[in-house]
Amino acid sequence: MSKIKLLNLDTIEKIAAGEVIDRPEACIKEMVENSIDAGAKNITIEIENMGLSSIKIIDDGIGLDKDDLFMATKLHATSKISKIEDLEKINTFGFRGEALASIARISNMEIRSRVLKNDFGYKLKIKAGNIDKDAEKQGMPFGTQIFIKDLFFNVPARKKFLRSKNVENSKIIDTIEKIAISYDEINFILKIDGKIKLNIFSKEGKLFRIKEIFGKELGNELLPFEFQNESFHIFGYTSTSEYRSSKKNNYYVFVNKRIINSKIINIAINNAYKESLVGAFCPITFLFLEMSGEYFDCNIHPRKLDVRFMNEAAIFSIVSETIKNTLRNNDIQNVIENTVKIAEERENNNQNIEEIDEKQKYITNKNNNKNLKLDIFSERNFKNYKTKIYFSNEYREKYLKSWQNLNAMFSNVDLKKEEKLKISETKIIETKNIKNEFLFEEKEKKEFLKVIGFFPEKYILAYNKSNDLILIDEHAADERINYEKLLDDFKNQKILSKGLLFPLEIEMPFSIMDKYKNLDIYKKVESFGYFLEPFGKNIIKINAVPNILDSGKEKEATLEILEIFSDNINFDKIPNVIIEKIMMISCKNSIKAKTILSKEEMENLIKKLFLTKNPYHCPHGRPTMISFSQKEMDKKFFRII
Amino acid sequence: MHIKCSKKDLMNSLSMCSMPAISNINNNPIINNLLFLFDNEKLNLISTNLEITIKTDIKAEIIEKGNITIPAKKLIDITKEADENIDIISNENKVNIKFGNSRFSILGMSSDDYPSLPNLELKEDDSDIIFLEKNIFIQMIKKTIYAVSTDRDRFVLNGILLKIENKTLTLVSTDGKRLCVVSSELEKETTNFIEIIIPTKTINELLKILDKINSNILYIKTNDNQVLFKLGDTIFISKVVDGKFPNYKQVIPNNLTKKVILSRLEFLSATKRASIINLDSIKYLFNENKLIVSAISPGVGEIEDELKIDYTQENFEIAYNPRYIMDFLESIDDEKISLELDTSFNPCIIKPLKDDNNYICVIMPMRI
Repeated sequence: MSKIKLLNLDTIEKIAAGEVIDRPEACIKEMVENSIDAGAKNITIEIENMGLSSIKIIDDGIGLDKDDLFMATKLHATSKISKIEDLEKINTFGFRGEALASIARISNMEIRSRVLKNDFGYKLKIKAGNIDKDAEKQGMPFGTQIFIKDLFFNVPARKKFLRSKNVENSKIIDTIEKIAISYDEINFILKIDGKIKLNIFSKEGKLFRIKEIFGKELGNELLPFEFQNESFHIFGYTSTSEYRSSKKNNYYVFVNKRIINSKIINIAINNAYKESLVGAFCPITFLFLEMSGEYFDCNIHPRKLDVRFMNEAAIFSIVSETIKNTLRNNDIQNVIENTVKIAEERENNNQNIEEIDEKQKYITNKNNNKNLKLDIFSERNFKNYKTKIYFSNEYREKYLKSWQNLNAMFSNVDLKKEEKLKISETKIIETKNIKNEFLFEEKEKKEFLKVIGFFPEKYILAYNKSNDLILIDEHAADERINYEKLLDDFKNQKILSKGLLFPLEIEMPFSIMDKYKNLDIYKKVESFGYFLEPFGKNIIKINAVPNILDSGKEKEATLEILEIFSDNINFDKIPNVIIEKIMMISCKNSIKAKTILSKEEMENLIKKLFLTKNPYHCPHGRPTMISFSQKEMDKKFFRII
Repeated sequence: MHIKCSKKDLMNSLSMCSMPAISNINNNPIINNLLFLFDNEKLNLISTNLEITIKTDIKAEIIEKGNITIPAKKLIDITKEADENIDIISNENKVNIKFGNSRFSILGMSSDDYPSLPNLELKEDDSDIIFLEKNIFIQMIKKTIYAVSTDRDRFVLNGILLKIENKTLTLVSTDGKRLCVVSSELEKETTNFIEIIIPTKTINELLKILDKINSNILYIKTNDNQVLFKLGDTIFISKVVDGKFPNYKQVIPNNLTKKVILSRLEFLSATKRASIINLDSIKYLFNENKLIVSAISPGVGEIEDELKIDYTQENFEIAYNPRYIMDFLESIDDEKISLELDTSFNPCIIKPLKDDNNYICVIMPMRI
């Protein structure tokens, strides 16, 4: 007898079922997704004993006919696609035709369904995959009702690997919550062991759903963001830099309403928060991505949790930049209010400003960059901000340029290999407008910061036009200024490179070395001060490294830069080793806390701080300033109640 | 033990020998003590931190023999306070120190608990022992120690390579960007081939001690993991770095195509001036009969300096870290130096003009 035997059909089906349904939560997810695909508006889920005793899913979707009822329980039977090409255009949850059939194999199931045109529904019983011969008539409201009993009764291995009741229940709750956020037009009721755990019914949009599920407090910490172009639309809500949670990767990511896990998006969000959150704290983000099915593949795994994007680099940059900008705009708003008022005023004086602009430009040229020495804190300037519009204009140009660069960059990125993404013509809706407005204001706003004095031993006291008290950490502020200066220097200058007398050799695993076969990569890193050459089959020889690098870090930094250039993903293209070194230098070069500053020095520091890209956080993510509003103080003194 | 000695003699010996005992806190407290040991009718003072061991002798009137260890720091402080002859009497582990009307009684430890010591014997006529003038050795160290690497990851470079081959003693140091090689002829030929790496810390301590002793001939003896120096009555033993020094000969370039002879002082002061502007990189442009030294630092400014030289080969530009050039130029007092170059990213050789390859420095340029 041969050792290799064909498995019997029953075993094959059970194995396949295990792939999709590994716990009751998966079973419920599949069934709820079916209900959504059926166009249900109200979905009720009832479970008992973690779903092992009984799961009921009741919806008011289109329902199934008698014939469909029989077909639905067969493996690879689906109404959603008919040929493989349809996969690209899929917009329903399911398409593999596995779920219902799989669940039927490992439980005792009863399906009742009524379509709208009939006065009655049909009831079909399936016991461990054995379908009853005929369906009985059944009086019921229209829609589908599925009763699953004794889940996993014939797969003891699955049962054994279930976790505690609390864990399994919370997984179910978590899944329903996620689905409810994505489908904000459907009502969900979840009953666990007879008690209502979730009753989600708000219809005012996703933010209300999030508030309904996570509480108003979190809802108020969230910032909306949005980015749109021809190929995709990204929007969502993300926590402010004041929100502190220790839960890692607390990200709710949906692609075309489908819940997914995407490593690249997680990294992009983390990257966006890198300079805004201190060390151990993590943000919470709800991100909704809408894009044509041809740009991604969700058929990697039967549970469809993983998604592969056509161009990860573009997704990475867009997510990261959009969130980064949102955070920054929020910081600006937080620290210095009154933005709307000023914007309106400026709108009215638009023409005058243009004139003044010309004049000021002239003066600027004449003064030859002496404008920075203007006393921006003087009373005159404090009131008459219009005369200093040229600051903002200058800034606006700089800012617009940077957006153009960003667009140009995206336009070079191939989303689909043949077809270029035309992001340069993108309407960066809202994000751009809001941002532009804020930045326009930014320069003016800092002129409204008036230094009161020095709070021993580390903080500068100042206030803005709306009389908020602002405390600035002198060390953090100076650190941010130095960091950006050094980083700019590093990017703009020809990078000095020091030759190594004894060239270092890195031995690489063959699998990784394959990535670095292309000799172009060695040319590219040369402009960053690395002179490398492949040496033999799996050795890279380091002949020279950037001068800024500490000795001993050569190998680490080389591996990092190769990684960056082969993946094409990092925005800045500067290895972390070097960024850390720059951070360290900037920290050491900065004024130490407890240094006593004169008023002029403080004013100068504030002026320089607001010229940086992210004045509100030091490079390590600590805030550089905090504010107390007049209202807050009045409340504490019981001036207002 | 009972000895009587003058403050000056005791202080001399203490300052020579106490370094290992007071240099660091050790979890074995006896390490912080000095060992008074009678050996061959002489009173020796020994201290060790297990890396470095120093032995010296004390001029003292010996009234009663015996061995004892005494806390080094306390003994030094007490000796400093004394103004005349000092009596040291040990009774079991108690040490009484007397001078004038003062009596100290401090706790020592038994000499039996002292860590076992390396072999401190050295016979000056042994065949595997080399000797040379103290000042020559000090000069050789000063010509190499500045290039020693401080990068802890590459520990074999954290010291000076001492190499003895036939009649030549060679010291080599490198930090991966420059290399210094200095060699000297010995009077006596040795049959052994020796290559050991002496840690930087040892070198620094050795220099201090060599300075304090008047004797002129330094004896050196080595084995696989130790090096022993003897000068006068003082013996200095150190562990050596366990590792293999990179093959330095391989990086000394030959067939260098360009050669320039420069005045050391002019070259040094031009480099110094340029380093005011940029500490990391200075450009040297060799034109016909002139050398232009320049540096630019964005946000600071620039400098250009011109030297007259004898140079008729093609125009040529190269950049160096000024520290490397200055370190070399400051380590010698010759009038002329020679600089041999090839391309702007290959290493160069810089050396005193007169000295026939006894001292060379190989420097990697900066890439520009």
